[in-house]
Amino acid sequence: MLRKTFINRLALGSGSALLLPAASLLQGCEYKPTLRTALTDADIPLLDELGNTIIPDTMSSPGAKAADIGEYMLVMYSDCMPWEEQNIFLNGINELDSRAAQTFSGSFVEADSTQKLELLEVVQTEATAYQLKMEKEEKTLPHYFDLLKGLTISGYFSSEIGMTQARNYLPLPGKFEAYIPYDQDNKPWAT
Amino acid sequence: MYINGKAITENTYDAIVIGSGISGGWAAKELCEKGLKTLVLERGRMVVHIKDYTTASMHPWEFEHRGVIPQKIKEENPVISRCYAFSEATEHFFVKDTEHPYEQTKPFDWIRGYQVGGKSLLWARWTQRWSDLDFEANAKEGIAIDWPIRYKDIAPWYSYVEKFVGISGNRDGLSVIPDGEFLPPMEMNCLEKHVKEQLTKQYKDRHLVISRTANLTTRHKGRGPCQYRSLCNRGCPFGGYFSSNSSTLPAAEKTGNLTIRPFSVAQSIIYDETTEKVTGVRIVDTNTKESIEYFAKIIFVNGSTLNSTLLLMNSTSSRFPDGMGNDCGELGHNLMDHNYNCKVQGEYDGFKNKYYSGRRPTGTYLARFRNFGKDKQKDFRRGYAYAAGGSRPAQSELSKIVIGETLKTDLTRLGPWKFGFSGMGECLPYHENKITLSKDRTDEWGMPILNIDAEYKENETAMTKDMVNTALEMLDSLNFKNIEDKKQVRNIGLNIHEMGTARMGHDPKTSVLNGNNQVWGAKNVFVTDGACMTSSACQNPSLTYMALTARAADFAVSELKKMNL
Repeated sequence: MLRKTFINRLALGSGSALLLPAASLLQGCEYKPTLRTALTDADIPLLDELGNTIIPDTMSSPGAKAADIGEYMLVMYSDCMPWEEQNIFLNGINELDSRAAQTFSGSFVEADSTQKLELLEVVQTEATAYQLKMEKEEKTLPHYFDLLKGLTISGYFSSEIGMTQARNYLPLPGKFEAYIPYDQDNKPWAT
Repeated sequence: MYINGKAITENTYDAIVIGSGISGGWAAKELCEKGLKTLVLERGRMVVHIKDYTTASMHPWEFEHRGVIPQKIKEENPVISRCYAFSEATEHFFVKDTEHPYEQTKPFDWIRGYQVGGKSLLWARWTQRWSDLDFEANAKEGIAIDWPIRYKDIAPWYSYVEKFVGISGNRDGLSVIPDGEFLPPMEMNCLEKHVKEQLTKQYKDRHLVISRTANLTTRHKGRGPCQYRSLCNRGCPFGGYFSSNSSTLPAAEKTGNLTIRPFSVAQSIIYDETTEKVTGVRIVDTNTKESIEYFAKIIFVNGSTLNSTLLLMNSTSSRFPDGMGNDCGELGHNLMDHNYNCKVQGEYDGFKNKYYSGRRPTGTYLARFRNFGKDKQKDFRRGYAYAAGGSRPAQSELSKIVIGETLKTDLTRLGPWKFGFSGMGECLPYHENKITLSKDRTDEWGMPILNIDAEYKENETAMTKDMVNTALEMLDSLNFKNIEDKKQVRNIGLNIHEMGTARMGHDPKTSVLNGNNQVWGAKNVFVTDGACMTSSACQNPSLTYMALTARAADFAVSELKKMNL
């Protein structure tokens, strides 16, 4: 879906954000998480920070935020996710927002990078446990964190930054060499 | 009836070719080069080589959804969305389910490309020859009917088309996939070479070779060479692979004898009872909905398997009340598609300091070994080949459980080497696997909707089991780790090797076409696409369609000169 369509939808009210009424649960913290009924442009900063915690800036290359991961996630969520996964993803973002509020007494976006990483590492552990539990089941739905992580990875490594800086992109190889030497300092091919 | 003499003259050619895909392109080239004024009728739009490859040079990040097909399109078009090659980069070359509906008595995925060039823009380009193991199988086993030709009849035509197409390959000396006229082969990577050596040592009868492939390793006939981008199915701006658009149609055009008419659905072939020949083709212009007749001395039907047969079925007359060439009652029957329900993969702990550069647009091929030589299977007839390949992707298992810098490091380093086997099994011809015309539904141009009723049967199921188990066993005996059966299940049709339904044979009582692809009872009509196939073998079929087409065109023109048509 184009961003314009989104904004229209927002204006029509179907995607409007509702404030959580149960402020008392949050024990007076100043940040009030929102209970979203859909993801909108307003969520891009949060998605950027989530993505950048999963794939951060490092010495060798910028992270997911620099690759506009939030915008990518929003487009893919809106246009390319089956509705069951859209629901799981949306609920997951709402949950992360309120867990951040509880844990940091603030928003995820404003937390420092150590706090962000610690929170998402807890969620990664939960997602791993969920996968183990579901291994025996025949048809399972994904954990929201796996959707978030999957989108971050697919988006980052199909972005210009991810492909040309984190990996090695050869748009026109011109030849095929069946053998070249490799050591861990070399980057893998982007595609 | 009022006959407009002028219109007849204007609409008269020496030959008409229906369809411009991989076989239609060949018919056009051969007939034009032999001096026949040739009209090519194509139901879809024009696609001009290079100019109309709109996505050919796009980077992955330039696609709105990075190549992924949006969910709404998937939900509305479940069949085409299952095709491996259907993506944001190629969707303009595929027919969407909603655009051209058909009926399925049992699930059959019908993958179509309606444009000049057809699916020749999209094909996988693997071109192994058939051998007499394949041409003799029906006769030896008493299955269906015998092929009216043998390897010796088609071998010179394989050579003829290979020389023009440009096939990269190695002369491996294997009788199940005879050597051809090859450009230099592409190279195997270190793991593939290792697997090749080990297989020969441990099994004797298992030969892994680089797949013979219609990608150019050297410049050839003004095309290519391949630039190793492996983006072939977007159309190649370098002409690095063979398609009608890059190769046969430009050759036909060069003669000055070619006319291409896009947006033209062939509706029926017109039969003349007095001469016992056909006079022309009735088409519907898809833009104006106008019905127009074109006339010619010979007609080549190359509409792709199911549409060619649909056209014959819709061409009724008092001579052919059940469809043209259908004295035998076999028209529409014996539909086949290869069986690819096997995908197995393993990891190799080794070659850690080795990698490759460039994207080779082909893989390796493990030639058929079942029911060949000393091998005798009791559970199934015929055999299969494997598409195989080694690769070394980034990332390891660690990526599943970590995030942050550890994850990023893992994703920007190479993981272990992987090797995969994908089975490609022969499918037997069954009379019950058939297409028929819908009794009451027509499309917007008045053509009956097709009903497809086909399934894999016991032989294919038993072969699937062996394909999977044998691949697992080979990876195990070659010391692979984390061996995985991907449990690939595809509907029949999705392997896009649909063939049969107007088979060749010795006898008009049991076949639709003779040994020269000539319709029994309408001798100036030739069907040379997948519809003509009498059995399926396990090799990718396009090379055989091309060779049969060139052979039939040669025969047709010599008959024309002898005044026999």
